This record gives sequence, structure tokens and C-alpha cells, in this order.
Amino acid sequence: MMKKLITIFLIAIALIVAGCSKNTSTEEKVPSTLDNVLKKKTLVVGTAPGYFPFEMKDSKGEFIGYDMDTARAIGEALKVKVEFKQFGFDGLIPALGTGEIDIILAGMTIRGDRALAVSFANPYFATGQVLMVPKGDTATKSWEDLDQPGKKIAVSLGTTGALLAKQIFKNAEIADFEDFPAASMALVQGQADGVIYDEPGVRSYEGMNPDNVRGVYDLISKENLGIAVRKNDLETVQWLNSFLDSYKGSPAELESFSKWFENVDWMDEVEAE
Amino acid sequence: MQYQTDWSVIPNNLPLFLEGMWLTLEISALALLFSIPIGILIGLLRISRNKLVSFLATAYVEIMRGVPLLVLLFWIFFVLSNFLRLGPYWSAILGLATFSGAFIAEIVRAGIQSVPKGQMEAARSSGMTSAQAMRLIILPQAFRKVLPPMASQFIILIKDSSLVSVISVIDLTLISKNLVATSFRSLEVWTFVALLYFIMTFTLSQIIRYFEKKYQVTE
Repeated sequence: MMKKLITIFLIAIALIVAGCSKNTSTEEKVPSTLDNVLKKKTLVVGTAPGYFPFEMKDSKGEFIGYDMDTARAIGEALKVKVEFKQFGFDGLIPALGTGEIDIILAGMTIRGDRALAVSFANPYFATGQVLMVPKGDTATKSWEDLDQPGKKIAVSLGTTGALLAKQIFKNAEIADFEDFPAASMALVQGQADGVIYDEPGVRSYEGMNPDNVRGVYDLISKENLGIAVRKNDLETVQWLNSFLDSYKGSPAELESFSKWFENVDWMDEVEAE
Repeated sequence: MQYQTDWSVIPNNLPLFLEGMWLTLEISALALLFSIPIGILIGLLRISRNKLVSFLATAYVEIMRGVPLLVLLFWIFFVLSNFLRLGPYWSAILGLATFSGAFIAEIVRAGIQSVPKGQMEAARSSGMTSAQAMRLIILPQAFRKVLPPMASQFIILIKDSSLVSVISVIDLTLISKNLVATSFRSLEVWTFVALLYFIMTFTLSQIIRYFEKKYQVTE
């Protein structure tokens, strides 16, 4: 009886695997996201709140931040409704792949390995990775100071900071957390000795928690953020590039930039962490 | 949506998967080891005649049952760490053991209460103390009855252990999340991981089945 069951189970698995691995070898035209969005009059934006000041949620649960302003501007330009869907950062690219979302706007760094899975529009923001340490740690001047056995570096799963930390730290241990707030919380609670994350995120976090953390602002690496669409959807990439060319430096963008990056008044609106 | 599958991510990272699987088994086994004494103790206290003792034990069970494991893990890791220096590894084991212990306590209590009252009376009238009667007459009968629900609980524990990935324990789930984050092969990785979890739980249920047969009362 047991043997039979196992055989049936294995056959089922084999069938599932066989069914999944049908490769479409013919070059089909990928239906452009742009056409779909215009047709259904809705743009579904995938994001991962918790990346200050790009994407956050305010106390009413509304999505706010520099990226969210950009997404709404895209919606205005296309004359469609904008709908936000929240994911863990590492869940964004899979969600784009399955068609759950149309574009990713989540402070995503343009990287070669990601570009194999999605296509990026031109960069809309230049930033870099920095180190954040507890306020009590006044000795640490650079990430090298923390690269010792017994030290723990908290990172946000799937981010550039996580990959970078795994590359550069030879002796310290790297701990993966779901998102930046969780990694920072681990730092504040003494469960980690450092966090590697994007500079704007660290700056905002320090602005909100000046008594707990301190940023070390020498850029460990430089990078560009980009909007991601489904792979090889060149029509949408082309349109986004044109949009960004007109949006960057426009009154709306300048206002958004100064609101999120030139002062910290917005911190009162953000969901209490 | 046409999603081009590519299964090469599995053989290329097999050692990683096995490493994660090993840690999952290790954490589950340790949590199980601690949760059984917790469960038996709390289960016995639940049926104590002392009102205060049974109230405290009931409170423990209700609180543990009423809080999601994820929240409990966060609480232990982020809040309790202010008083108790527990790393992710021991936070995970403590969380799983205390959580699972509450469910085991309920199983133990139900098992003991399912033994007919007459058994206790007969044991007492043949001159045993109530502790002796408990140990020699009631518990062995209860033990046989609780094996199946216990088995389910152990399987649930292995599955629940996947949650410890959120407090940076590098178990099978966290390894997989990381692989998906770098390879973007979500369908392939999660399908394989589901299979690995199934292999673990199925093996365990077979082991328990063997014990059930062994202790079966021949009718």
C-alpha cells in the first residue's frame, strides 16, 4: 500500500515538473505592459514600503515617498488610476514575472543579474551603500572596523546592501532580515553591530532615531536606481525613458525632491515604527 | 504569462539546500525536545486541583495559543533580548518550544482526561498513591491515545520552523528566500523546497506510525 502511494506521488511530481518545463521556443511578441495598462485604465505598481524616503506608509496607510510621487506622476501622464501593491523587497521581481504587478518602483538598484530577469528604464536616482552603527559605537570609522569575527551585520534580504555585505565582509557574520526596519531594529536592540543599506534610507532612519543610530556616510559603493518592467518590454522601457526625461527637473519633481530629501518634516506623517 | 522555467538553480545549489534542511531539522528537533517536558508539565498542572496552579497553566496555554508564532518570535527576539541576551538561534528554539508546548499540554490533558475515572478509582483502591496510579495506570493508557495528535503536532512544528527565517536564522526557508532573491527563480526554488519539507514531515510521520503499531493493543 505504502509503496503504491509513494509511486503515485512520485509520478505526480514528475508530471508537475514535466508540465512546468514546457519551453516556448518560438519568439512571441511580448504584449507590452503599456498597452495593457492603457486598456484596463489602471497601473499596478509593486513596491516595498520601509525604504525611507522613497516608499513608506503614512499613519492612514497611504503609500507616500519620492517613488510614490513618481508613480502617481506616471499615472497622470498615462491618464490611468494608480494602484499600489506591497511586497517584501525580494518578492517584487517574482511578482512582476507572474504579472501581478505592471512595474516595480521600489528604489531598486539597476544591476546586471536583475537585468537578466527584468528590464530597467534609465536611472532616475543616483545613490550608494553606507554603514549604520549603534549610537553608542563611537569607535567605528568605516565598515572595515567591523570586519572581525563575532561581529554581526544586519541586512535586508535581497537588497544591494545584502549582496555587497556578503562580498566585502570576510570575517563578520551577515544576518538577513525581511526589511530595513527589521534590520535596524536588530541593530538598536543589540542583536547586530552594523547595518549596510542605501544612503537615503540610512539618513532618514538616523533623522527619525537620532538617539539610537549613527550613519557612517562614506559611500562603500555607488549605484543607480531604476524602474523595472517585464523583461524585453522595450516599448514600455522606451516610454518610461521619455517620461523620466520630462519629469526629472519638472516643477512637480522638484517639489517632490525637496519635500522628501531637503527636510524631515514628513517624518511626522510616517507610520510609527 | 509565459514563465520560462530553468531548473538548473536546484542542482547548482544543492549543498546550500541541504545545509538549510539540516538547520531546520536541528532547530525542530531541539524545540521538540524542550516542548515535550513543557507540554507534559503544563498539561499535568492544567488538571491540578489547586485552583491557582491550574489557572496559571491555563493562562499559559491560552496566551500561547492566542498569539501568532510569528509575533511571538519577533517578541522574543526584539523585546526579550533587552533582558535576556538570546541570539537568533536560541530565540527561535525558545519560541518554537514554548509555542508548541502549549499545544502539547492540551493534547496531554485531553489524553489523561480520556482515561475512564474507574481506572483511577480501581488503582487507588488496590492501595496505590495517586502519584503511583498516575504513573503506572493512567499515563501509559493516555500515552497510547495521544500518539496520533502528538504526531500531527510534531509535523506542525517542523512546518512552523519555517517562520524562524524572519529573525535571521539561516534555515531552509531563509536559504530559499536568498536564492530566489539572487536567481529570481521563484517557481523552481519554492517547488523544490515544498518537496523537501514534505520529505521531512513524511519521514517523521512514518517513524511515528511505526511506534503506533508497536504500542498497539491487540484487540
